[in-house]
Amino acid sequence: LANGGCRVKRDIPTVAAPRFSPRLSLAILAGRGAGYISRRLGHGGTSLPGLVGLQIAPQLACDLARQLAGGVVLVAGTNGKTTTATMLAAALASSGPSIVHNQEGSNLLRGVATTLVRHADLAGRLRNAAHLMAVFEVDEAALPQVMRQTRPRSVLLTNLFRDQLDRYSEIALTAARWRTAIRSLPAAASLVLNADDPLIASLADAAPGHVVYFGVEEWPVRDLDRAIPAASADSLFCPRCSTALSFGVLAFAHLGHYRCPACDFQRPEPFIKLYVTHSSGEGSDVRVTAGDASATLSLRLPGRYNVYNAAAAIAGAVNAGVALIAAVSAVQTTPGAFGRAETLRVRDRFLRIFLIKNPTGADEVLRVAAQADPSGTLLLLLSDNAADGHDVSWIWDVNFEQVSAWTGPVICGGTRAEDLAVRLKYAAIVTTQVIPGAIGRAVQHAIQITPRGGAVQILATYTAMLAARDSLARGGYVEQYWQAAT
Amino acid sequence: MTQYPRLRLAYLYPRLMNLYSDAGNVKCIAMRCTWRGIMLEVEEVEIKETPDFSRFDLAFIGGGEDRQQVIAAQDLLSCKRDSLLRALHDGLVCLAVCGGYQLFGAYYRPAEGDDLPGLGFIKASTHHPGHGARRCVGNVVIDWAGTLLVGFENHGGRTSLEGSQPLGRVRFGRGNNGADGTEGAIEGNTFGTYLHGSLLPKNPALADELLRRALVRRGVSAPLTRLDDRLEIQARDAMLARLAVRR
Repeated sequence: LANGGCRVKRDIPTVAAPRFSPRLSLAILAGRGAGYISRRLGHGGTSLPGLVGLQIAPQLACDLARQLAGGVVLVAGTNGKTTTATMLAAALASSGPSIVHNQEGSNLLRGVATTLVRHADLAGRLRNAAHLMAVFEVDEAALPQVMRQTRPRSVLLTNLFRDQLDRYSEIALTAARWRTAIRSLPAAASLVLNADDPLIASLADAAPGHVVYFGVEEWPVRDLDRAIPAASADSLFCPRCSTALSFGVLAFAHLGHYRCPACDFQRPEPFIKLYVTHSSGEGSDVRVTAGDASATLSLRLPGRYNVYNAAAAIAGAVNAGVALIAAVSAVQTTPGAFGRAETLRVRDRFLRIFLIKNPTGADEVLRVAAQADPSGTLLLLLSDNAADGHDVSWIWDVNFEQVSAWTGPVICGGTRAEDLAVRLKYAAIVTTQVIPGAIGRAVQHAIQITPRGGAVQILATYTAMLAARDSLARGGYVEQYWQAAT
Repeated sequence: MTQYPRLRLAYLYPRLMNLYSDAGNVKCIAMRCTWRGIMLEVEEVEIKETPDFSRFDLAFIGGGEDRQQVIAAQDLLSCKRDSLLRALHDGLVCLAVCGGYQLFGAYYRPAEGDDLPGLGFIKASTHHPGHGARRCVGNVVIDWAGTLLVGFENHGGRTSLEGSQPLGRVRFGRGNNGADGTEGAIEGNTFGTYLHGSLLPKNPALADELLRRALVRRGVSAPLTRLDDRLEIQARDAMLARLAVRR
């Protein structure tokens, strides 16, 4: 197994009677023990069991994943993985199987392994394997390795945007690594691709098997869809011949209807088509078609990015045999994922928390936040820990100018609060206050200066979001008043 | 009050070479002009276009992905070389960051494949030490003109100066090559550097030096109106304190 791959014959159903392996049992036992200790120490234990288990049995994920009668579906892409995977898990569950899912977002191989270990007995057997199916969201860099280990029945790829360049590499390199991994998929495996992302769609020619595209055909406000991509957009050049692509409909960044003026590369016709008829700061009304079938989706999550998340999840579910109407219904009732537009009520103020991590995601979140009452409080938290990316340059690609009409207080916090304040100054936002140091202080301040009944929009990078939630939990608010964005 | 001439800035390849949010440098110059009542026109210059660079007072180029840098290098030599070189020799004030800096040197030698010839205005060349070598990634502080500049670097290539003066000396981080302590280059009115972050908004003294040079070239030698840079200085000092670099 020179490539560290999985010993499964190609094109053969993944169900295999597991042979007893002392090594596998030991790995599961040790992983469980590590998880127990980790949780006792107050950690989530969402990756340590897998990490320990993989040290003992490097084929652990492979040996367990192959027992899943329903197979494995992987979800990867820069933005929206967690929400898409959560929606997809709900849609797949609606057709019967129990779903194994790394829902805490621990998305390296160790996180996948942890989730599998949790469902395994000490003999190395997955409990209830005959009725199990797995949905794993996977980190961009880890995808080739996870594909080799889990031999997925399908791989759903959503988008590629620049993200934490000090941690990931350029998106063209990520796409090239994915392409290589896709080539060694079995012919029975299918790809579910976003037709509207040029680089994602260009991966189809590496697919050994079936490809299903999803895309958005129409947005409600035509005049907002100027076919001029933002300066921060990434895939503006033909992946085949490097000519500048021409865009018709443009949703945001480089997602839209494109064609190459020089060669025959163009947006493929999607099978799953979404027509957005109405959208607001609360959500979108969408007509969805899959061939001749059609259904109406009333999505209660804001932003164009969530329309794409829903499209991806519906496509993944339909591709796995779920009826369109059932897939749409399940997606519609999926609440916002952890830290993605969740609403909390704290001391009679309404806090809405958005995760931001790269220019494209932040632009879309700001577009949603800007629809809120501009006299409310805007709390922006920028940190530069490893999980946020050490390089904060990306804030200069974020279109903060779109909240320059904000009249309420704007507060900057996080380990790079000052950098954010400088960015806002150059976006002509003059009401900024800087609260460096502990994020809890910035959160407390934001709540205090907001009148009762008022709203606080919180935009935070990953570790800043965890710290903000932690400070709210210590005040007893998150558990008490947690509710999904509706 | 000083009467300022209208200034023109050529923003080279804003869609091709925009990897590290270097658009912030152009935003910075534009805002610092606005605050002082200086009219600044920003003109985007894309591939295949052949502008007359003698019309411009300032020029800016950022960094791009490998593939896009190859496209930019070819276009720079085939469509812009002569006019741009003439203007640079004539004192056009230029800031070239990261990949743009590399393209202004003699050549870029990738880990594999052919050399990528550059503009050759900055007397320097860049070699990629191979895929096994570590990239230079992280916060950087350099000494420059009696003050400190802060930024972030992320580059694989190592640049050696071959006649041009360095922009500054590395106080923290890697700089041109991680070996000789130099960072960036100055050649005439052209500044090359690996610092992004974005560079100019965090280092307003350098932004103003570029503006000052552009105005001097147009015959305005009165000092620039001072601006309130407390926020910028606070951000810089927070980074210096974290990295324990003393002023």
